[in-house]
Amino acid sequence: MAENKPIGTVLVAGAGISGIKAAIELAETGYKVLLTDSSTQVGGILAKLDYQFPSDHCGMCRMLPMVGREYSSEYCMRKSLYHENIEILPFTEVVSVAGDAGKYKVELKKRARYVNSEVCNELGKCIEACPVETADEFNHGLTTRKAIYKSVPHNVPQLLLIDKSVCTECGECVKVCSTGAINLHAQDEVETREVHAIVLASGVKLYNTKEYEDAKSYAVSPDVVTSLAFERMLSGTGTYRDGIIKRPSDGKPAKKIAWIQCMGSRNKRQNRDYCSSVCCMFALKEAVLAKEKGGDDVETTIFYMDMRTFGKGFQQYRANAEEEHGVRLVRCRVQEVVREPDGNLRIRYFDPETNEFQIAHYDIVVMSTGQIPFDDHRKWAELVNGELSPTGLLATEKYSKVRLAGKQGIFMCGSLMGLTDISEAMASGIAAAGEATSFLNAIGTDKVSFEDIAEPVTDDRQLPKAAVLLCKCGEFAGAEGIDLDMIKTEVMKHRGVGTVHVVNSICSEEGQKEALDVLKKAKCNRLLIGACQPFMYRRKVRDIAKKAGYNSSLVQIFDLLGIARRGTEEASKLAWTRRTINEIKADLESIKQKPALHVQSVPINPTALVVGGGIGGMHSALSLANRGIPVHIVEKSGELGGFAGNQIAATVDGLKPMTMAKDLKLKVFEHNKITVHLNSQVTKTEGTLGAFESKIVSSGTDQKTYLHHGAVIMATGGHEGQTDEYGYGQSDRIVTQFQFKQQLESGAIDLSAVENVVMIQCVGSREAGKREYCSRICCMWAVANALKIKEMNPDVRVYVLYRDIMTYGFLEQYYTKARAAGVIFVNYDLNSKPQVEIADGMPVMRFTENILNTEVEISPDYLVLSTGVDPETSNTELAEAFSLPLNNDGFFSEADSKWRPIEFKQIGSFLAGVSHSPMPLPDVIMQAEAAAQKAYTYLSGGSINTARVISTVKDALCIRCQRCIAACPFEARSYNAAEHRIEVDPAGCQGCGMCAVACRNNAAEVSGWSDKQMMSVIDAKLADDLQPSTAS
Amino acid sequence: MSEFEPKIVAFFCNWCTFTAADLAGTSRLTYPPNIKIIRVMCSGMVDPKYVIKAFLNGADGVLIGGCWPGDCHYINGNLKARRRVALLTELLSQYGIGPERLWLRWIAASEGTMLKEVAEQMTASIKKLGPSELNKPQAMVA
Repeated sequence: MAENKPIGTVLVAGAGISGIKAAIELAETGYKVLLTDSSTQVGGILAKLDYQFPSDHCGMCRMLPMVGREYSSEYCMRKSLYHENIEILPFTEVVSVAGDAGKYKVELKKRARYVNSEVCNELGKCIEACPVETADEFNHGLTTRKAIYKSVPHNVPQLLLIDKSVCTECGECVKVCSTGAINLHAQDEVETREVHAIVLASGVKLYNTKEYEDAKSYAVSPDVVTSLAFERMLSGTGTYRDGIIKRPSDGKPAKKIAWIQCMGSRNKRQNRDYCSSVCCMFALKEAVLAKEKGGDDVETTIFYMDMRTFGKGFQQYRANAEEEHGVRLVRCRVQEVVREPDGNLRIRYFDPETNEFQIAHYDIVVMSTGQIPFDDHRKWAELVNGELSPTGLLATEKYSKVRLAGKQGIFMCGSLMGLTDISEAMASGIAAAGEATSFLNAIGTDKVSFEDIAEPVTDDRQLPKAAVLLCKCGEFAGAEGIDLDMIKTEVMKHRGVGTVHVVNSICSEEGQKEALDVLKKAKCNRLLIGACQPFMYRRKVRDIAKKAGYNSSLVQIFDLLGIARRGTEEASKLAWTRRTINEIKADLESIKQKPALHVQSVPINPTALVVGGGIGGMHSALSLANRGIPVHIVEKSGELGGFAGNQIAATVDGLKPMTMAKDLKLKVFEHNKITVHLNSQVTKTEGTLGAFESKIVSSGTDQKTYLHHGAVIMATGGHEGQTDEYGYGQSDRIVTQFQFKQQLESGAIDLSAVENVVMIQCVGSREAGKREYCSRICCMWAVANALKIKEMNPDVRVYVLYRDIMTYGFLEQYYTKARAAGVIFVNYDLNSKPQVEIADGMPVMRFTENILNTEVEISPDYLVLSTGVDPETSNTELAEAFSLPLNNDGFFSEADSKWRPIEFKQIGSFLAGVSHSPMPLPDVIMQAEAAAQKAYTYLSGGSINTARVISTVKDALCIRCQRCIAACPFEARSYNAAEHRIEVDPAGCQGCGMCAVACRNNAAEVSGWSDKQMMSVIDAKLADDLQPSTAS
Repeated sequence: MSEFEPKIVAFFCNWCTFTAADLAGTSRLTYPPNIKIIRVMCSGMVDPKYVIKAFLNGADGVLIGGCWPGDCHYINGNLKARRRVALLTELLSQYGIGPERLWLRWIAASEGTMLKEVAEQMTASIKKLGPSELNKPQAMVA
C-alpha cells in the first residue's frame, strides 16, 4: 500500500523569508516544494537589507536546516538557495488554482527572461554590449542598470534577464553571447502542476509615495526617499560603495537625516486604519546605522506618533538608540516637507518638549512607508475562492493566523498576514509548514526518504587517484584567455591525478554522457570538476558522479571561469592559465587528503515532552499527537489551561480563551497519544536530541517518574505583573487592569454610579530596573475595558494615561474606535509620571494634559493600573533543570532572536508562547504550532541522518581537558563522566571547527577539514605563479 | 629582476567574506592576484598553526576575513578569531614577523568593494614592507 502513496507536494507562493522558511521546513520534513516568486529573485524584501533589527546584523543563513544541512545550500543566502526537495521558480506567477483540498491544480506562468539560465555562463559580455541604460529598481532608482541585467548583484548564479519594457531589440547582446543563451523572442510559459497543499507567502506591497495624494506634500525632492530606498543607500551593493551616505540629488554626504513615520499607515481618511507594525523599529535601526555608517556627526531625528517597540528586545533597542547613539525622537506629525532653493529640506514641526513650533533643515528625509495589503488579499481570495473578512483581508480560522477560513490545505504566512518582523516571519513560516504537514499527514501522502539517496562506497585503503574534468564552455574558456591544453598537460603531471579530460560543454546532454563515460573508465576515486557555474550544475554533476561510482564527499566542483574573472585586467593569458593551474592543484591536494565521508543514522525516540499545559502547550501537544507522535504534558498546577485558559473569558477581538481551553482540554484528555502529568515538575533533564531523559516529581507524593523523549517544548506561560506604585494596595478603588475586567464582567461595579475612570499604562514596565520590556497586551486590555465601560454607560469619562499606545497591526481599529467613543488618551513620559494621593480611601490624581499643557486634577472612581506580564516564576528552576538560558527579564532565550525564534541553541529543545515573551493568544498558538512542527521534523522518521562533515574525537589523543566543550557554540560537545570521555552530539554539531582549533592535542577534528588537508592546500596556494620569470 | 610580488594567503569564511569575493568576481571588480584565497567554514576555524605554516612556507602576509561581529553563522567564531589573532600577533613578532603582516578584517557578503579595497591595501602595504623576514635569505640568493 505504501508504494501507492504519492509524495506530498506543496506550493509555496512567495519566496521572501517566510516563504523560504516554510519551504525549508517542509523540505526538511521530507515533502516536495514548489517555491515560486513573482519577482526575478528569491529573498523578498530581505534581499535588500544588509542589516536587520534588533541586532543590526545579518544572519539570514541561520535559517538554513541544522540537522539536514547537507541536503541544502551551505552558503550565504544572499547568493541563492538550494535544497534537494525544493524546486525554485522565480519570475513565476500563480494564475489559477483549481481543484479541491488535497488535489489542487495550479497554473503557473513562468515569465520569459529572454536569457536561458541553463546555458548562460554569466560572464556579462552582453551587459557591457547593451546600449540601454535605465533606473535599477533593486536600488530604488538610485543607480542605473542595462536592459539586459542581473536583478540582484550578489545572486549566484546570477540568472540574467532582459527588461523588455526598455529593450530596443538592437540585438547587440545576441551578437556577443557565445553560448546562444539569448532569445529575444522567448515567450511566457504556462504550466499546470498538481499539489496537495498551498502556502501563500507573497508578502505585502508597500505604500508607494508616488501613487497617493497625501504623500505628494512630502515627496518634493529626490532627497525624500522611502525607508527601503534608504536601506540601499546604506548597502555596499547600493550607493554606499565608497563609505558615504550620499544625498541622491547631488551626492553630497548626508549629515542631517529625518524620518517621518506612519506614511500611509494609521490614516483613517485613506481607509488605512491599521498600523504597519515594523516601521518604528525599522526607522530606529536605520537611524542607528546612519550614525554608524555616516559618522558621529550625523544627526538623526524620527518624527513619530507612537513608538511601537512591542517585540522581544525592542524596548531595549529603543533605549539604546536614544541613549547610546543619540537618536532624537520627536512625537509630532509633520505636515509638510519644503525644498529650499539650496536643495535642503525644511521641516516645520511642533516640539512637545518646548511646546513651540520649530524649523529644522535636513539633507535627507526618509518616509517610513507602511503596508498596503488589500489588493493582494483580494487577488488571492479570487484565486483560491477564499473568504474576505470585513476588514478586507483573507479570513483565517478562529484563533489561527495561518489557516485560511473554510479552505482546507491552504495556509498563509509572513507579511501577507500583515507586515511582520523577521522573528514573526520565521515563526509563521514554520507554523504554516506545520499546518501543511498535518494536512498532508491526514490525507495520507508519503515523504521522500533521505536514506534513498544511497552513496557509492569508497575504500579508504585505496590510494587517492583523482579524475579532473574541465568544461570548455563551448570554446569560451579558451576565448576568455585560459589555455586548456596547457592546463591539461600541467595538471596531468601532478601526483595522484588519474585522468584529465576536457568536455565541450557539460551543460549539454552529450557533454554529460561523455563525462559519465570518461569517469566510468577512469578508475579514479576522487573527482574535480571545473565548469562555469558550479552552483547550477551541482545537482546534475553530482548525479553523474554518483552514477560513475564516486562518493559525493570526494567530488569537488569549482568555478573555472570565475578564477579568470578574479584576475586583474592587465594580466596576461599566460598568467591566468598559470593561476588556474595552481588553483586546481590546491583543490587536488585538498581532495586527495580527504577521506570518504559517510552519513550516520542516529536513532530517535519519537516522543515529545511539553512543559506547561496552557493553551500553547495543549496546542503543541495536540498538533504532534494528531500526527502520531506520543506526547507527555507536564503541568505544575492541578489544572490545564494556564492563565488565559482559566481566567480570561473574552478578548477585544472576539476570542474566547476559556471556551477554547475547555475544548482543548477535552481533546487532550481524550487523545490516546497524550499523557498528562498534573501537579508535576521536571527537576532534571539529560541527554541529546532523540534521547532525553527527564525526571518528573509530582507534588504530594514521593513518586519520581522518568520520561524518555526525543524533544522538548517549553510552553510555560506568564501571569499579570505586581506593583506597589500609584497607591496600589491602599484603596480598593485602585485595581489592576485584569481585576477591573473581572469586576466589570461579574457586575461587581455599578457603572451608573461612576463618573471618572483613569487607567495608567506601562505601570512598572518599559522602565530601567523594572520590567524593561513592553508586555504587548496591556494597551489592548485597556482599550477593551474602556470600550466596555463606554458601551455600558457612555457618560462615564474614561482617561487612559499612556506612553505609547501599542495597538499594532489591525488592532489599531479598536484604538480608533475607543477614541471615537470618547475615551480620552493622555500622553505622559517617565519624567512626568501621574501623581496619586489617597483621600478618604479614594484616589486623587494629578497629571499634565499634554495638548493644553496644563495640570489636571481628577478624583476617579476607579484607578486602573496596567501592570504588564511577568514571566512564569518556575522558569528559573526549569532553566536549570534543562540547562536552558533565560534572558534578563526571566523569559527563555531562543537560539537567535530573528532567525531561530522557536528553537533553543541546544538542538531538540524548542519554546513557544509567553515562555518566549508576552504576546497575544493568536501568536501563542502560532508559535505553539511552529514548535510542534520543529519537533515533528526531527521525531517523525524514527531516526535522523547526520551531516557528513561533523566533528570527531580521537579518543587516544584526548586528554579530557574539556576546552572543546567551552569552545563549541552549539553545545554539541559534552563530557561523559561515567565513561570519562568527550562525546559529540552528531546532530547538534554544525562542523564549524572551533573545537579543532581549541584542542591542544589534535584530538578534535572535523571530518573533511583535517589539518593535513589544510596544510597541503596552504603549500599548494603558495606555489609560485606570480613571478613571470618562472613561467617559461 | 621584476618588482617584488608578495604572496598573501587569505583565509576567507565561507558565509560572509567568501561571498564577498564571489560578489567581487561577478561584479568584475579586479583585485591583485597576490591574494591566494583559501575557503574555510569560519574565521574561527583558522588554527594559528595554519597562519604559522603559511609564513614558514613563504607567505609575506596572511589575511583572515570573517563576518562582522554578530553576523557569524556559528554565533561567535569570528570573535574567537579576533582573540586568537591578538595573541598570535604577539607571538609572531617574537620571530620577526610584525603585526602589519597579519590582518584580520570583517567583510560582509555584500561588501565586494571592501574586499577589493582590503586586497589592494594589503598588497600595497606588504609590497612596501618587502619580503617577510623568513623569505629574505632566499630572495637574496635569487
